[in-house]
Amino acid sequence: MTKADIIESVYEKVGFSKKESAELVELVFDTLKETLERGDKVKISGFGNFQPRYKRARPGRNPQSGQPIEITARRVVKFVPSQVLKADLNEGFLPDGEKSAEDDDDGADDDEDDDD
Amino acid sequence: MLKSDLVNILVAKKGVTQKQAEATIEVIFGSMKDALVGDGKVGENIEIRGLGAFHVKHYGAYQGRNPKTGEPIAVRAKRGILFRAGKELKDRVNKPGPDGKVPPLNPNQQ
Repeated sequence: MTKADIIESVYEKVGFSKKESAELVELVFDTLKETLERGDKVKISGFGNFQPRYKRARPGRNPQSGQPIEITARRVVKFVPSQVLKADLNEGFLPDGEKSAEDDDDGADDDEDDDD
Repeated sequence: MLKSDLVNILVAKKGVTQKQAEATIEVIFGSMKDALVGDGKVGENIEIRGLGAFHVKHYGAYQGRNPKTGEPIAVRAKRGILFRAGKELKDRVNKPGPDGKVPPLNPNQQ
């Protein structure tokens, strides 16, 4: 899904022209960016929260050369999905029918032995 | 910033009615949610230029443990959302101040 699809939904469901729909969608996303830029959070009930976070400087490494470098202090955006979105994602979600604990659907290597 | 603030901004800046603005906000985030949830099995990723991308991540089921009792429990397979900020948002949020450093957030902003 891209912005064009969201504009299309607004056009179909709210009844604005294509142009108006596009302007409204742009304004919403511009406002989100502006708010986060100021350092404020955005809370969309039923969808999730966008929160600016401050990360202190920390030591890191150039992964290519292995050389130690400082990762500078920075601000990042964290998205926390709402309980509603999480619940909707997982309601009745059973990939390929009932799967048991040893199945893994996307190759993450978390094989663990469970001997007691 | 809450949904209601977004509604007020649409009313003030675009001259739409309160009702239309509310409907617009609901449709925007509702359609995004619907895309991510999909048919309940396969969801769609979302990419919004400048803002970021939402990915539906599938987590496999695993055998967990109650940390208090050590009792093994089966943890179901589930899906979650990963968000990656886009370039524009990243740069705007992480803008250095006059001293070249990015200022920490106010405590009441965290």
